[in-house]
Amino acid sequence: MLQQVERNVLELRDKTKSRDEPMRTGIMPYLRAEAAGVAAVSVRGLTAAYDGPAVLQDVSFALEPGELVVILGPNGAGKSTLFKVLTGLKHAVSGTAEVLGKSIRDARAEGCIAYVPQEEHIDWQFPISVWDVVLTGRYGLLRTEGGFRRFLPANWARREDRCAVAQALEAVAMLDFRDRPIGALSGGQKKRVFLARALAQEAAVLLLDEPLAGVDRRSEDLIFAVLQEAKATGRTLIMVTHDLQSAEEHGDRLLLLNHTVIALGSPAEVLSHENLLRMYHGDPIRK
Amino acid sequence: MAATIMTFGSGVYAGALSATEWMVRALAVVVSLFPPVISEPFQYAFMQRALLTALVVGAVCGILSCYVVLKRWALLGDAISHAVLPGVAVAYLLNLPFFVGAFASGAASAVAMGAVQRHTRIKEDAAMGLVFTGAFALGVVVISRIATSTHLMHVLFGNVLGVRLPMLLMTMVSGLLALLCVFVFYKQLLLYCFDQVHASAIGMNTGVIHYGLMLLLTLTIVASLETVGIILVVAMLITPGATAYLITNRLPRMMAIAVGVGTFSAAFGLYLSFRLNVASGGTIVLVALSLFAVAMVFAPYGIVRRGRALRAARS
Repeated sequence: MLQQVERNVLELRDKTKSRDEPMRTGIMPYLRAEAAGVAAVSVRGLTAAYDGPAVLQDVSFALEPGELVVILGPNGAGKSTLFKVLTGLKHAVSGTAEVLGKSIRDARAEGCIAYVPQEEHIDWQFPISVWDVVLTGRYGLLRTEGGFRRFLPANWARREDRCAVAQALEAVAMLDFRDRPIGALSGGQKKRVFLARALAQEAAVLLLDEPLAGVDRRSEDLIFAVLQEAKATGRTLIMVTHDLQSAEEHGDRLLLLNHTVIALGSPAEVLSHENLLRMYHGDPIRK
Repeated sequence: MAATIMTFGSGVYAGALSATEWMVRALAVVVSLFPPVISEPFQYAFMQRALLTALVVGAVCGILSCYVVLKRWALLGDAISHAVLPGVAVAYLLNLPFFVGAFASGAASAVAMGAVQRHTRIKEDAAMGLVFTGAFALGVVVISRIATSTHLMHVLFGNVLGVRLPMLLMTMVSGLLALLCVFVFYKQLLLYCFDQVHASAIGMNTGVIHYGLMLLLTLTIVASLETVGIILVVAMLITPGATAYLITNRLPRMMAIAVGVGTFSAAFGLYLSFRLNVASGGTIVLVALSLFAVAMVFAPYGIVRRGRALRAARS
């Protein structure tokens, strides 16, 4: 049964390849919107607030295409708020944020931004299967290029959508679990499914919110292997984590954040005792 | 020109009415195929109209109840259903079709709730309580001034046995509109319930989806007024979805089962209310609730299976 499924996927992939389409690297779904000479993510003078003092104060940074940037910071430092601005859920008080030189609004509409949620943000009792979760990654593309299909149920997706979903699931070694309800997965498997959704979206920028929390060693290795491959295809990865060790090990650059940018640079440059002290104990705004 | 449009409009209306009448007749033919024990109450024309109305309402409420259960909007459904009352009263005053008023006041209250919650420090539950009790009170006051108490009772508890053709047509049109919206915006609604951040990240406007789902709920409630009434409509907006949620782990299947539960309880409740000579709205809700009780014990996600799974995990 499972072999049959895999054969179908391989067959599907061959068929898409034979058509006049760009080659796909390995098992990773192909990436659209190649960034040429533009910063992948560019944030300038960003200030954001809820009721009360600013959570983000004058935040500026620029990220290159194809790098893995880890955002480190204490609780309440504004990491989630930064992600909310980048996903369009929160508007900045002042300053700008751009993805691939486009406003957040346009970048979202073009499907450039993918989001991998924290475990607590998802209702794991929701009646949905692994396959259907990853298929939601294609909804943006179905809307912009699906023509009349944007009005039809997702299960009547195009062949290339089904193919991208299968490839993404294969990339995170979750294809065998395609029909499982998401509640029946382990912590690591859950993360891999949502990573697959981000891959299937073919987005240029991936936002990963705590992708290592509650993840076993095997899944962590697999996740980083997939992230390396995603980098190689030109995707930019922004990861929030509390795991200092894997941040140092895997991050190309680290962004230390506590309401404002404390430091941005390679792990060797940035992880000084002084910086960490300023990040965890300093409160630069309220002083 | 205006006169042409008017005649055209009334022509369409007359056509729709006769189409509805034909549907009632077709349903009557189908029902007459059942053994006499079942089909006997449905030989009366008013029972045939009531059956068609109840079936439509059961199906539409079934679909919407899935979103209500998954989005945890049970209280909101209750709130909107109460907020519909002043619209009904005012429409009666102005001699408008009551469904226009009901829809307007339901939608206005939904927006008002959002405004209170967004612009003050009052949280969602209190905002809901404020707006819907306020609207309901306004409705009771207006109705006490203009109409007899039987009219109020019909709005509160439904009057499916007295449904006339125009009302049935109205129920069918708003029901079909709601079903069409769910079909066309299935992906948006699913993502809004499941993962709002992802919905926003891929360019969907979550604010529009939020109010859209509220309007859809209002439309469904308006369509159900005649059958179960304001007080009990929320039961039909929760029970079928909750029952289906205990049986399956796939949204499309959950919707199909919820439609089954909704239509079956509507039809069987109507039948029982005729046989036992009791209030039809209440009977429909009680039948739905008994189906839920059975599912709660025996369904795959019910008590028995769950206990067995826990015991198996322990040993």
